[in-house]
Amino acid sequence: MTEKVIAVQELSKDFSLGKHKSIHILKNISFSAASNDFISIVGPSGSGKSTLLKCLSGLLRPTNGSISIDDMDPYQLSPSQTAKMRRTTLGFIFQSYNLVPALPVFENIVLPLRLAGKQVNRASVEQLLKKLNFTADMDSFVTTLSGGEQQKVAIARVLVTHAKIIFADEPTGAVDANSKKIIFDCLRTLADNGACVIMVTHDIELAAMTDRSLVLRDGQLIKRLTNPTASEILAEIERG
Amino acid sequence: MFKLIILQLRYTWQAWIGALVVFIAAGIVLGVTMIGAISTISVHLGHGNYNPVAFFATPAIFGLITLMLILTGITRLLITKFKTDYNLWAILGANPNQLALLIGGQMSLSGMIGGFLGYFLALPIVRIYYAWVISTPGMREFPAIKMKLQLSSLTLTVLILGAFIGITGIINAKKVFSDGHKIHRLTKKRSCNLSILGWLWCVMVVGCLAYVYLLFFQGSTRLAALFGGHSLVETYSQALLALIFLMIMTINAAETVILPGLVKLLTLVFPTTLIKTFKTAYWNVLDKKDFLKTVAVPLVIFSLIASFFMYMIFDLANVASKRNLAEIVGTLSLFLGAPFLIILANTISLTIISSSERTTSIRQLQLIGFSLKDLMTEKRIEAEIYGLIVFIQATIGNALLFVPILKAADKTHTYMFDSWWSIFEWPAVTGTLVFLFILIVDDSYSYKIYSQNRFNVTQK
Ligand SMILES: Nc1ncnc2c1ncn2[C@@H]1O[C@H](COP(=O)(O)OP(=O)(O)OP(=O)(O)O)[C@@H](O)[C@H]1O
Ligand SMILES: [Mg+2]
Repeated sequence: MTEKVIAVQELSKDFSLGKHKSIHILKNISFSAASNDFISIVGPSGSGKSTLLKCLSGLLRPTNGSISIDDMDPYQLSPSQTAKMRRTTLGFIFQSYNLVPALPVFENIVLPLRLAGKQVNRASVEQLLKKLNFTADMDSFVTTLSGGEQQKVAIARVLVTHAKIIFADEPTGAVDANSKKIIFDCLRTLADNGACVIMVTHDIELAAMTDRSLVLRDGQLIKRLTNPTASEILAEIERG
Repeated sequence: MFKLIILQLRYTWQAWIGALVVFIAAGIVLGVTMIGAISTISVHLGHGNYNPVAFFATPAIFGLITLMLILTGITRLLITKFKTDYNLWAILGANPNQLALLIGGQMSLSGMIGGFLGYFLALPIVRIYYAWVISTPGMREFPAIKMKLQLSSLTLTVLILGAFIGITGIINAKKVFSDGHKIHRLTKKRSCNLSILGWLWCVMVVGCLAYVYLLFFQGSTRLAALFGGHSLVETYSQALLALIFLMIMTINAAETVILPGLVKLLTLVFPTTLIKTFKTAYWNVLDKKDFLKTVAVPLVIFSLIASFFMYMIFDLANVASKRNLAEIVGTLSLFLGAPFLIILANTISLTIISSSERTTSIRQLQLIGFSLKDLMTEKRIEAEIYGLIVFIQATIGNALLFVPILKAADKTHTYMFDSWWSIFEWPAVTGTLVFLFILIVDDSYSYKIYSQNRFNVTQK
């Protein structure tokens, strides 16, 4: 059984440049997503993918339109409700700057659990990292990790919190082919087990393996593809 | 949580060295009080009219009040410095209370370190100071006491300072983090960096100030009606105290409007066309309003209070002729010494903490062809702007204060020793100190970056 977990209606976002000028980054975007959904957002660089993901996840207040996550408007919550939602319901994997530089690998992974005052099991985290093919030491500091390793730590963090909705911005951007497959399979498994995964990606092959693709161009949602193929996506992106 | 606080502190320790300057200063003040008081109590001399315990309590009280006020600025600066980190904590689900605890915890730990170091620096100070006190006329009745290090006074200093700084830090940080979340219509910043409530408050304070001020120009009956007092001297002392209090509140409330205006005014004074780096310096200063405010406000207020005390003691109370000068210096240092030490340390702390942000442009400037000499000139002009702003503002404040004081002297038939020149004294001292601190810290920072970069370039 699936339930609707994200609903976006006529969302738009402007950035103001100076006093009287503003640019429209997102224009009138509407869609919805359910649990078990694995959605990819594709589009040329600068088309507003990261901005859309930030608006969706409650990090950037849209100029117009409404968003509901898990039947709640993330922009109407009190600070402590927001915090609670972030550490229990949502999972974030960013393009960069995913990890708290002050904390070692293990503490980064379990940070949401610590903030929620939950039990932390070191052995299970260790196992998780092994499954992700993560070879560096759990007590090393994250600034010494490679981009791909950092991405894996961020994935592990999402895995331990059992997030219901996962936002990933190019999670495979900085990793080799082997790790890319591991990370993607992880997200796939999460979606199959009932999470809703929304992933921004430049990788058409990966996007073709998701359930649905949203194609963005110049801030507009120009196409929704269900069970897309690589050639379909490519055609949409390149159509000018 | 405790572990997370330690880890965060370990990662950001360099920034805390800056804050440590102020914490050590506070540790010295509290250390003087604790060593003095506990040494007295342990030889059972803490009683009577000349009770050293009460004497030693004064610096701690004045010092801690000052510390509480300036910690707002330091907390804000430390949060801004690592705002991307704390933002990530928030995204991962830390609520404002947890973030405040994270900041307050780090502040408390550094406060304890400051208390520990300050305590040992306090010992020679309290020995010399007390030896001088008991040999000064008017204070000879204080009993002779051997000041010594004790575990109890050390523990008290460390714990009290840690708790005080931690709690103040949590309260300040809580305010910063909850402000970021909500958008209140009334507290939203509007024109000139003030919210509607800010403007209302500002108008109210200025109104009160203007009212009391104008009363000085009328007969003394209305002042007496408002402030009471058995004699005319008492009435005027109380009215002046109220006046200075309102002036301080005005400075606090209107600073975000006054300061940028003053900086812009300076462009008219400086030979802008002669100095090519002036424009860069000018924008750098305007860009860092937070720093400008946190540095300037405490110093201007201090200069105002110091001048006020001087006028009250030397002129109005006219004690200079009646009492020994050493005694006056003793009293002044007892009341103003601790705030002075802490405000000076605050200036140094703020300068060190924000130095890396204020000089981020150094690398770019260097790339577009600024030589080290140009950079130093730029930093010198920046320091001059800060110094001048403090000087001008403090002088204006003093001028405003001096008129009612002249009136009061006139009405109470007191002879004024100080002339109009005296309004420049404290502003000149504080202005010069700001100039020197900022110049020294920023120049050494620029030099460090510059030589590092040169080294990197030659290596490649
Ligand atoms: N804070 C901001 N202020 C002004 N403009 C912004 C801001 N953030 C993003 N933009 C602009 O919005 C547009 C979309 O940015 P966004 O990061 O969403 O693109 P993207 O699709 O994620 O690109 P990429 O694939 O390169 O990551 C860009 O033109 C960017 O310059
Ligand atoms: Mg992006």
